Amino acid sequence: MSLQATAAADPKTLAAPAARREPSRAAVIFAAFARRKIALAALIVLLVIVFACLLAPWIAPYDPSAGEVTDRLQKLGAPGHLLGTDEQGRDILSRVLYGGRLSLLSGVLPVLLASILGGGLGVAAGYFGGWTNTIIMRALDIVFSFPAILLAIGISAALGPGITNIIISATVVFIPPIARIAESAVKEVRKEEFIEAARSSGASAVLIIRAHILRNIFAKVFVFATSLIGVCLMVASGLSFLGLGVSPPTPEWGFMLNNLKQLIFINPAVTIVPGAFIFLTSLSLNLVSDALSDALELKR
Amino acid sequence: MPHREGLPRAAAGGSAKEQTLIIGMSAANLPVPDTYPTEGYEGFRFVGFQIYDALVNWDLSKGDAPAALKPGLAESWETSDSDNTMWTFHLRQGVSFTDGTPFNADAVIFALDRIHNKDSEFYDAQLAGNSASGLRYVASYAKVDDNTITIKTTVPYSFLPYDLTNILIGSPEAIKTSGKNFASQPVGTGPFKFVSMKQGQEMVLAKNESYWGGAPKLDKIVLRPISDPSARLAAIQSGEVDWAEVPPTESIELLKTAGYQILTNPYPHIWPYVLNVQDGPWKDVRVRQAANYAIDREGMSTALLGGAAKPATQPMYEGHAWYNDAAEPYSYDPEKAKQLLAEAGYPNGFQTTFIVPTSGSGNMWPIQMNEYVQKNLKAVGIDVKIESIEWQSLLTSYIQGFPKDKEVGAYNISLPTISPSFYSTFFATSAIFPNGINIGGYSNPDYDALLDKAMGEFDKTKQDEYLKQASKILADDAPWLYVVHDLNLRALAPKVKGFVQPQSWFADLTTISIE
Amino acid sequence: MASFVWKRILLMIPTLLGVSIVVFLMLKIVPGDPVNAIVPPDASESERALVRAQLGLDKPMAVQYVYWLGNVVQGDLGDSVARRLPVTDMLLPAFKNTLLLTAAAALASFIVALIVGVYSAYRPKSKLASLFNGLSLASIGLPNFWAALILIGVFSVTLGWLPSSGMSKVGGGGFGDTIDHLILPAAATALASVGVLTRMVRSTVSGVLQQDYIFALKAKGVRPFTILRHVLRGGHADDPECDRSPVRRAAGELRTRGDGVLLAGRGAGHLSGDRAARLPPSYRPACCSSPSPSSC
Repeated sequence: MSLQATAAADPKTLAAPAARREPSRAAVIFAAFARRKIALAALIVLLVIVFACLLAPWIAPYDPSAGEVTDRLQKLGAPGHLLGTDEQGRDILSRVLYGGRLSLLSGVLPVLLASILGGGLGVAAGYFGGWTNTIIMRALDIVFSFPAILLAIGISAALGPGITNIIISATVVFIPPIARIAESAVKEVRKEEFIEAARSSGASAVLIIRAHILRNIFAKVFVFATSLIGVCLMVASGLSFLGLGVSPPTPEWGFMLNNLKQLIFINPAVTIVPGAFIFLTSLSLNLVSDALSDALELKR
Repeated sequence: MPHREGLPRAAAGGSAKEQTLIIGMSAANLPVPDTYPTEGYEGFRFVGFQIYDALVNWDLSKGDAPAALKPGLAESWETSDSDNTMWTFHLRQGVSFTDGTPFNADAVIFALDRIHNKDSEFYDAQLAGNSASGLRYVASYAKVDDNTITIKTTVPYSFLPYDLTNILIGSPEAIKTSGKNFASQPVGTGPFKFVSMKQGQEMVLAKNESYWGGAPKLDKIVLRPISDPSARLAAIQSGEVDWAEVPPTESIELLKTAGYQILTNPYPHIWPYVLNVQDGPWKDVRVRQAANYAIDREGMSTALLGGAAKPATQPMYEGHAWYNDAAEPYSYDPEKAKQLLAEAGYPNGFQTTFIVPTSGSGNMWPIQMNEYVQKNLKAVGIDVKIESIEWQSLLTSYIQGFPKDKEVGAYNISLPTISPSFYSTFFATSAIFPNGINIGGYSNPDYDALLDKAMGEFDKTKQDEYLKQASKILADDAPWLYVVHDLNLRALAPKVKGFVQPQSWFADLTTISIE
Repeated sequence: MASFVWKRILLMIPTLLGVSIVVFLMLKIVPGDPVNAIVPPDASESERALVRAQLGLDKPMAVQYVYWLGNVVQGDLGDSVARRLPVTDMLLPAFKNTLLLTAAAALASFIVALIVGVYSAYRPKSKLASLFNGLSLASIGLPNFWAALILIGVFSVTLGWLPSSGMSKVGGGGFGDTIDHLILPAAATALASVGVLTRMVRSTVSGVLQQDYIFALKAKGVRPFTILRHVLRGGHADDPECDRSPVRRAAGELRTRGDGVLLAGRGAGHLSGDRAARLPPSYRPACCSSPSPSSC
């Protein structure tokens, strides 16, 4: 079944993905996105942060774990240390850049994993309905009824400290909301005639899901997932802040904040830096995701 | 950062006439006020020794010498001329618990039964576990008459009075009445009595008017657990507490300028790593010495800790009777460290794991200090993985010995070295885990022999000499990685008067008044 | 309607059981043997076994669970080894404090969200509305364990207006004193949820404003204030199972997010909040296709 046929049969589909075969549509979406100046600015900030962190080994001025204790707690803008130095005399800019890699990873990876797992569960529940739906959704309700942070802390504490375990616990936390979005989107699509037509023509469930369902729910799940990255970044750095994350001297934003927090009333500027990066990244992600959903006209 | 002079908010607690001292503890939790309080020795400092007495107490009245023992609920004690394993304690007369129960030999026996006699109705396995090291050498005990008891030790053991400072005596009537709820309404003979406790928030103690040692000047003490150093700083700056344990060292100047009293004093306390000398690389004395040579103690004490600590190269600090200046000096010498490692067969170093606390009384700023040590050791090739756990879990895990399911090279745990039994508890072959808390498994026959002499020596001067020699062995064998002695940093509001910062982990709060 | 409620309550039972199993298993997975916390380190294996048997820890996990559940439904949560107290004695005071803090934070963010959200929906193109939108997103992106530290730095340490920790002053505990100690933690908590709520109110209200019914009211010349009342009630319900009232929906949203207020009033690093998984209402279609019937 062709894409054109799908679109024709389903004028109400909220948004087709920015499919690679339709560059014009992607351009349209981007144009709509770019009309929001602030979102564009946020996107640029985000890209700068992401690339700076990815390129940390090449652009960071210092080794993130090198430093002399005699140089400790230099103020913002100190010569040679743009963002000052921490309590061990290490360059904070370098640590922020290196630390961002783990922080961003722990923001993105759980959402990605949860999208795959949660999306899969949601699609299965939505498509097959009946008992399958009941069992999957009730099981997810159990996970969902825990306060997210508590659940993440609980899982992390049970598994022990470490970034891998933070990623696992954040993934678990984000599976249910994504599954719910996917499930409700699938349910809507499933009512459509073209699905019925495909079924009666003997197409297998796998084929229908692949050819029609995923295509039609992708944008919704994608936009929702992007909106979760900022949250996930905060959950992950929050866990790290509580000491459940990396072990020293590995830099990571939440952990840096934890380490510097005892200085907050003495040398506030230096302490504020890692928190500000968490905030800036998360805010940019939210702005981008917000504008993206507008551009995709997901909002009513 | 600007902040207010004076403490407008502070005084609001209680009425103007009432003398209330509000203490910001460094523990994360209020100590459970049973006769062996939780939260390590900070529990003893602020709760145990305030609510209860032991037979033997600490004399905390002097700041210029290490604290010595003084009579507590026992007025005097002696060993028998014919048998120095037989001790007689003459109890103080006319003392009552704050619930009116008279203190006498029965009360002492009851207290000992509770932690030592498995057949006793009120035996408490948990308290017994905690107190075990204090009663290690006790073979039996008996009441002679209402005011006298005897204790028989398994071997001639001159450290017994020191050990007994940790055996606090609660009111037998109260324990019988409250049963397992005793900790929610504890009763002792101490200078203060328990009033109330709000979990996680505050514990209130009130003066014991009829304290046998003279009633304290304060009417009330309020303890608040504030584990975060910056939160303690905020609390003393905003006047919510009058006394803050170990504020961030970076704040020392700030606080001094604002008129706060910044107190430091050396005292028998050390911030070391207890090494696992039974398994792995740390089994080799050269590796242990190498690590001891790799640490820049001066840098840590002055640069990182702003002078709130002094370098430690052996268990005791310079100026203490047991300090030995002939011991291995452990200067900062990375080259020598590398050489020693190479000799030991680790030219390229090795990997190891240290279990460290995230906070906790006496640990000062564990994560930062551990990162510092980690960097020092890394420089000579020892690659340390830091595993940080919460203080109370570390204490629990420590007394269970090194984990069997994974390689752990050391525990970082700060320890008071206040009593000579410290030498046996942590280093004697007979105390090797599970028979005691020498969890590293250090064993040296020469040391044991010396220690036996010290334990059997009832003359203080001679005993000091033996312990001094023992210190040298401990430095040379390096079963620990000695790092710093902290200086018991605390900040007091200007209005707190009359406190003497002793050379001790503990504190006498009875002399304090509020202006 | 009653049958619907009953059905939901019945459906809650397996969920609650599942939750209790997860909680129970989580405690079992956490490393550490409770027996070790009780016996002396030199206890023999037989002494350990004795304690283990006394505590019932030698039984199969399923038996332990059933036993535990039986006690829990009778209100007995057991005793804490570390604190030497019945667990209920520790939970209840903490629960009271949590409730107070959550309620205060919820009330604050509810009021702000309602005013700001309704305004933004009425004047979507205004400068102020875009500012509010930005602030809402900032609130969602704000790590509030960090914001809490800054609030303490500014309002307790620098300005000295509010206490930095604790639930009451020594000797205090009166109403004013409690409020004093409540403001900062409540603000830090509310900061986290106010953005989410504002956006939910805004999108709900703008959905309602587009209903023909509202246009009709406007056309009839009904006073704006009366229309607002209709809007807040959710306008004309075209689907009985669908609630478009921004007030009720915001309240429902708050009800599901009583978390994050974990260790209230214990000073800086302990304020952890969560705006998390139940996030962006803007992506929750304004009504009825909502992923979760219970939140619609």
